[in-house]
Amino acid sequence: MTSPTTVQNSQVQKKQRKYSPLKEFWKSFKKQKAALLASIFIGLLIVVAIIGPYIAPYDPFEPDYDALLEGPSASHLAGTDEYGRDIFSRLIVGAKISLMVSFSAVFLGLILGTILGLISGYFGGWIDKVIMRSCDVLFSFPDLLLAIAIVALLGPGINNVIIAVMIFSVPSFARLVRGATLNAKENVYVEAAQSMGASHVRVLWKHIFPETISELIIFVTMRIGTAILAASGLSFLGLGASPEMPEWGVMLSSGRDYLGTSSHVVIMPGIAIFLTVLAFNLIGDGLRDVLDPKIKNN
Amino acid sequence: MWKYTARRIVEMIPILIVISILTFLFIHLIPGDPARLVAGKDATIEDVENVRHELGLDKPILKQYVDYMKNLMTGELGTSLTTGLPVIDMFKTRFMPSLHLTFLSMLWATLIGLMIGVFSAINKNKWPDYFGMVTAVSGISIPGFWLGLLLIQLFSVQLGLFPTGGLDGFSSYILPSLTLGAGIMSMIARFTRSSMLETLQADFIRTGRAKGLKEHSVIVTHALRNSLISVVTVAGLQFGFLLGGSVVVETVFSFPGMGRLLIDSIAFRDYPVIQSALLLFAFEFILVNLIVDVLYTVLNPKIQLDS
Amino acid sequence: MTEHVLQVSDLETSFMRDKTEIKILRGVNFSIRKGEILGLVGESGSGKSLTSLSIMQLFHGTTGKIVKGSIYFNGEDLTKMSESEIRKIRGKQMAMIFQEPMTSLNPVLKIGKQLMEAIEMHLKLPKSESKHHAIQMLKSVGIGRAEEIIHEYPHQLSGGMRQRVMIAMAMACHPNLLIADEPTTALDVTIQAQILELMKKLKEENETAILLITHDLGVVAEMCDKVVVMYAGQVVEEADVFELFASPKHPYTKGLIASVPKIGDKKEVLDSINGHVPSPQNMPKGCKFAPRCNQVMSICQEESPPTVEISATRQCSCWLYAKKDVEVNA
Repeated sequence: MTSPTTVQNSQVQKKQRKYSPLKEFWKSFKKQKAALLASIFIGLLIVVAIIGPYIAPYDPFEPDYDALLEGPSASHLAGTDEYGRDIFSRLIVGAKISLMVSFSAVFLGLILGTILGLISGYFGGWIDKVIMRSCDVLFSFPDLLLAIAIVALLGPGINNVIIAVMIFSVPSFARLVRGATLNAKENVYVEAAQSMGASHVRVLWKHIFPETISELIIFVTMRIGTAILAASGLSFLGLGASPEMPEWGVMLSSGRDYLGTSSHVVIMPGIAIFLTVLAFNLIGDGLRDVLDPKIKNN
Repeated sequence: MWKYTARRIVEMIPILIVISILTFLFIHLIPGDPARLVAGKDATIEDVENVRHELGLDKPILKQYVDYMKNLMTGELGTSLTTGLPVIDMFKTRFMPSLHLTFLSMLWATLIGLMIGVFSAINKNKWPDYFGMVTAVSGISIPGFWLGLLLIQLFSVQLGLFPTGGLDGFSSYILPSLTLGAGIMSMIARFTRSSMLETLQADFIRTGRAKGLKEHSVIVTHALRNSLISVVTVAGLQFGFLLGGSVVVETVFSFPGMGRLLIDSIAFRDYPVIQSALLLFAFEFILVNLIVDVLYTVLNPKIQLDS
Repeated sequence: MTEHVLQVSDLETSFMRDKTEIKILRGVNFSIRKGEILGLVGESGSGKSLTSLSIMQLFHGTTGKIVKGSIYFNGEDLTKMSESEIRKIRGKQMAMIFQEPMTSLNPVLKIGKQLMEAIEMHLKLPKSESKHHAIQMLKSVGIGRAEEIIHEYPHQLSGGMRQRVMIAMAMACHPNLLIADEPTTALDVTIQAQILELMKKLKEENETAILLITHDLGVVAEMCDKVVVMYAGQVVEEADVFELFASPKHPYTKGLIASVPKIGDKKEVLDSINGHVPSPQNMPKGCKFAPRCNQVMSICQEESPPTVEISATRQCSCWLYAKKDVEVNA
């Protein structure tokens, strides 16, 4: 039934379709000034994270016993810590750690959650029940507590933090994708595709998945902020990165003893975490204002 | 309402069972031999076997679980490996402070969050809105442990207004509850704002104005009453955030509550305490969710009559 | 001479969109006498709903505002009043009911509370008296079990009942003018008839003037004394209801009446007016209806037609009826 011309047309249409929504999106997004600034910040941060170790003014691990706990100055932009290490350099390397941990955890959770959500929503029946019940069990632990429990189980360390954060993200993604899948399933064009004999995978990928994309994007962005807070929180509690690592949370924890006297040790890493999470949240808000249909129709 | 409550409780039971199994298995899921981990690296084989027998780890696993559940029912939560005290006694002293802290935080966060949210919604895109929303988005972005430390630095160390930690009367609750509530207040403010904005678009709001009602009547009696239902449920769900956040806050302020107990026991590998604490937290969370669900059906007249 | 309850003159209302002002109402003129039912007819986009919102000044939460014209209500110009002054009139001397009874009532408040709100505020009655008054109002709109309904919620009532409650709410303070924006469009046909009957009865009992907004000519024929036809934000024809249907003057009115299918008429294709209502940002020069008019002349595309008084009760904005000293090219 599909003649060559129809296939060609749909391919042309697909190219055209891909072109204008993206442009439309960019036009609206540009208007969100806060989100735009935040995106630039994150862009710069990512660049710093990648080339950071090479441009850092000092070796983040090298102590300098002549310059202990010095406040911010021209030579040490963020001061030095209790071992004389340059805080600014440590912050730069810490950016890499934070971004890497949160991105991995969230994207792994996204992939796993999406697969589970699609399967659950599309096939329904007992598969759906099993997956949703498991998510309910995971949901019955508050996020951070679940992460703490997992790390308590597996032992401290950055990798286990990634696993823990990933695990507590999966149920939310699964539920989101499942909901969107159920909605999309109702759509008539899915029925149409199925009646033309499209295989399950094809229907899932080509028809249902695109519907869920905008919600996912917003959620992922906000989730990265949550992940950074969780990861640094775990490290602060001594359950994550080890103290020599220049991870922002751990830096805060070791700096705690010097709060009254050299508070910059505590203030600097905190600012780093705060600004980064703030930036992701602002981007998420901006995306939501642009992509959310309820707001669009006003 | 009672039928619904009963139904939800019944639905809860399988989840509770699964959770009890998971917390029971906790000690077994740890990589390595639990008896050895508890006995320590320098323990002899004999020591390890003694520990194994003491903890009942030498019995078949099903029997262990049955014993575990039997003990739970009678409130026998085991003995702490570090203090040697019954776990349940340790909980008794720690539970109330945490509860008070959680309650206080929730109270101020909900009230202030609501106010900010409503005020922002009715002044959309004007200065009060920007101010409110900037505060709110900062509140959800700020790490709790950092905020706590900053507050200590400012109010305890420099101004000397509040104690830096511990539990010493009501003033010990102030800074921790400010820290704990910040994130919640922000989330409630954001949610209230969007809920109010949506409600204010509704037709019945126009009807209210057409009736000649004063604007504050329209906002409070009509719009807020509607939004309140969803805001209350969202607020209730923040409770989970509180439980997790309390671990961090209690650590920062050296507050003698359940959260800090959990962290300390993880550091010392006090498995009986860890297990029971996790179980307690999960149970609290599920209970609050149940209450919130039932509360929602009570508040929402549409659902009231359907069930 | 019965005085006019409402007199709208040269009303122009606009909205802001992305910093540009878009004019929707372009000079609306009509008046309503005491106890008269005026029908405001037009397609979607004609501006009829906006006219009613302008009269009530219900622009909250939108960027709408009146930019020109006057609205005299009981002798006072509403456009010159402050919000608090108008609030005293809304719901009391002037009331409005809307199209969607489903969503026009607050779902979380009891019916009684919603009724009594306005009564307590405008008539300053104590609670027990206002409750009694509310029950009376519900009975007068044909709701038998008024005492029970007081304690119920909107979703427990049917669409027709809800609209009756809306009418009760509107009439509670015995307004001089009732604005009804498509009150029966969302209801079943049988309920429609009941609601219209009810409105007629209340009008008679209270001598209330009614501004009835509708796109349904059947309703107009049934209910109205006078009709005003709107197109693209302007009044194109005003007439006594019988005259309008017997001999419509404006080409648009003719088209509207012709497009209503009549029983007994055997037709293959239903008559309709070609084209569609222009958007407010793309208004044509000259007469706004010219692009769709089957009697269009060259002058129609150049200049907006004046309002011609054809008789004491008849007005029409069309070059066809303008003075003959104008060049007309067919």
